[in-house]
Amino acid sequence: MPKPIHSYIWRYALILVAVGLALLPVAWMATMAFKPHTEWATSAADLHWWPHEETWANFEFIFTGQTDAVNITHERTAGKPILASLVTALLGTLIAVVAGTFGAYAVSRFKVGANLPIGVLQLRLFPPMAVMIPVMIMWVFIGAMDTWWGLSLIYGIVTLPFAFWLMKTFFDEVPREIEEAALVEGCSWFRVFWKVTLPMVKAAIASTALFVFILNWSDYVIALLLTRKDWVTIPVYMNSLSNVMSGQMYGAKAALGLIAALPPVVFGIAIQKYLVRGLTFGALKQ
Amino acid sequence: MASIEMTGLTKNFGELTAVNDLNLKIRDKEFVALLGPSGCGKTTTMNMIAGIEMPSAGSILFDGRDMRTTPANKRDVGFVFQNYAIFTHMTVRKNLEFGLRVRGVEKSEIQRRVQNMADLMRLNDRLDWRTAKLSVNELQKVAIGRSAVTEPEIFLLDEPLSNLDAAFRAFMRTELKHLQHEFQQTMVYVTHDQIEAMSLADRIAVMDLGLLQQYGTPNEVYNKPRNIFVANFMGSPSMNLLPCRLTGGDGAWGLDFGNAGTSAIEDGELARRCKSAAAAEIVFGMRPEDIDIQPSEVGHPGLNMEVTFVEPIGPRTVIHLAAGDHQVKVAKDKQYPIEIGATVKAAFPKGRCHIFDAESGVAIGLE
Repeated sequence: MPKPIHSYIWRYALILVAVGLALLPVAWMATMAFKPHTEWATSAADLHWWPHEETWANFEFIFTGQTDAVNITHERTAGKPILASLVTALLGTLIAVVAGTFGAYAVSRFKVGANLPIGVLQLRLFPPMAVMIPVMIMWVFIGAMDTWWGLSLIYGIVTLPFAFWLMKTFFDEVPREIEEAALVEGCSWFRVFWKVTLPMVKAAIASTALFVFILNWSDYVIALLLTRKDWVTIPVYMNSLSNVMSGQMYGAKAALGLIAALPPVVFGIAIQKYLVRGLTFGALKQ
Repeated sequence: MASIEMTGLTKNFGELTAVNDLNLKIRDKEFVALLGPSGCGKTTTMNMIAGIEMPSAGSILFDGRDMRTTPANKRDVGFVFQNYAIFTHMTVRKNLEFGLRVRGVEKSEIQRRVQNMADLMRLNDRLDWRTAKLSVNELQKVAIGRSAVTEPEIFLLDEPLSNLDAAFRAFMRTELKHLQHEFQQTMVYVTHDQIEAMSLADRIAVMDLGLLQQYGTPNEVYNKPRNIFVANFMGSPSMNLLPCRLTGGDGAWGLDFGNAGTSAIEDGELARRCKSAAAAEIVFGMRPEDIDIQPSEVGHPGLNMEVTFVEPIGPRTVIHLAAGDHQVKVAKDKQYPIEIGATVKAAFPKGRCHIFDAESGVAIGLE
């Protein structure tokens, strides 16, 4: 018997409301990015959704440091921070996913380092902030302050537990028999891992990478402490978009926010088919 | 040439002993079934032959060569897993090619052998399918094909047919026999299905609780069970086992079934075996199909029992008899004329009765 239609209606109504609520601030940011200074700096009574005069001035401002629309100049532009964010978030993700995958496989399959999983988890039992002062001292000592590799390295370390634990659960789900089958067919353990196990968990790797990337991409505090000028990332740079004369430059921040939202969205869409966890691991009896 | 010799093979998992002091010789080109209930150690034995598990003690020799230091990927055995273990990220063709590629076989040779195997397994029109789309039956064929294509001299099958439907299972049984004929491998076949073991194997190793119970041809295992476990495990419906007391002495043995009555032993073979009995408490066994049903007044050794239930199971009729505390099942042809409530004599079949020691369960006087 088909379900009565009202049961669907309520469900979808609820979903629509939830999606609407979640998208509201994003939509506000998107329209604000195209509003001229006079519209986003207006009094509450005059607030409106759609820009009366659409403009690219906010984008012009963050990329060139000035715009005809406002009489303010900003000496630093968004180009380098975007590059810094991309480089450090991607490298950090690479470090965490590669190390996490190998580590998780070893622990999942060979039962080595029985306490290692908990040990790795301990990295997340306190906020990274708690150790940031020692890390800063260390980073100064090894010359990693305000470098692309210094920031990438700490991103990789901080997100490693996530990558490790996610990958461990996925590896635990791969049936041993699949690997044993490859083994008796004559594969070395490394070949089993490379040719059989890894391809089977590639969907898992993709979703882990996305998750870790978003964590790195949205970091503010670590970048604030470990960078000064050259490798400032988007969130830190965004915070600098204020001025004694103008106060907070919301238009420019919205424009930058819109740009910052792009990479995770693009990444997410690119691996969307892998995110569906309906993929079965190995053909097993029902 | 590929014989397998296991000596004192033992495997412990912590407190649990999965396989206990197993001694088994499998001859070249022989088809041996490891038969037993789940948890009897048959799969562990198989894994040790393949090198997936390392023995806690004892040795495994292939053609006299000790395999202790040979890892699984160098043993050159074929292994078909119970759950198929198909590589789902590959097509059927890639699955079949896998072992050959690993061995670095030439491209044209790989093609030829994969094609042959696809013909044999009737997988031709599935070769370029993704394995996720295959049915369970086809997955099983891919699994067997993938192991057989490398033409290993030792072929291990772990309950390969247990997930298949009945019709396809029968078909695959013949196919497996055919496969062995074609490639002349030494086959070790794990199963809990005694019919499968009986119909396929040259010899059957019956295992229980990690111990080898009996090793022999299907005929020996069925007709001369070494102990109660084997007697009970082989055959369906299973053997009737009646606890009783041995009475009398040399020349005039008798059986006391308590409130079900008594019977003399007139069977010379059985009388000879009775001499070896260590205690009077024994278990008397008869296969359901061996028992003869006679009118109750006939003087043949047996028990007078009441018909309690008649069960028609297609080709046969199973007749349930009861007397006192004892129940007996008799298997007869279909549509056997008998009435519920009638009293008949379950006549002991001459030369086909079994006696076991009640305490140890070991067959008495079996040479």
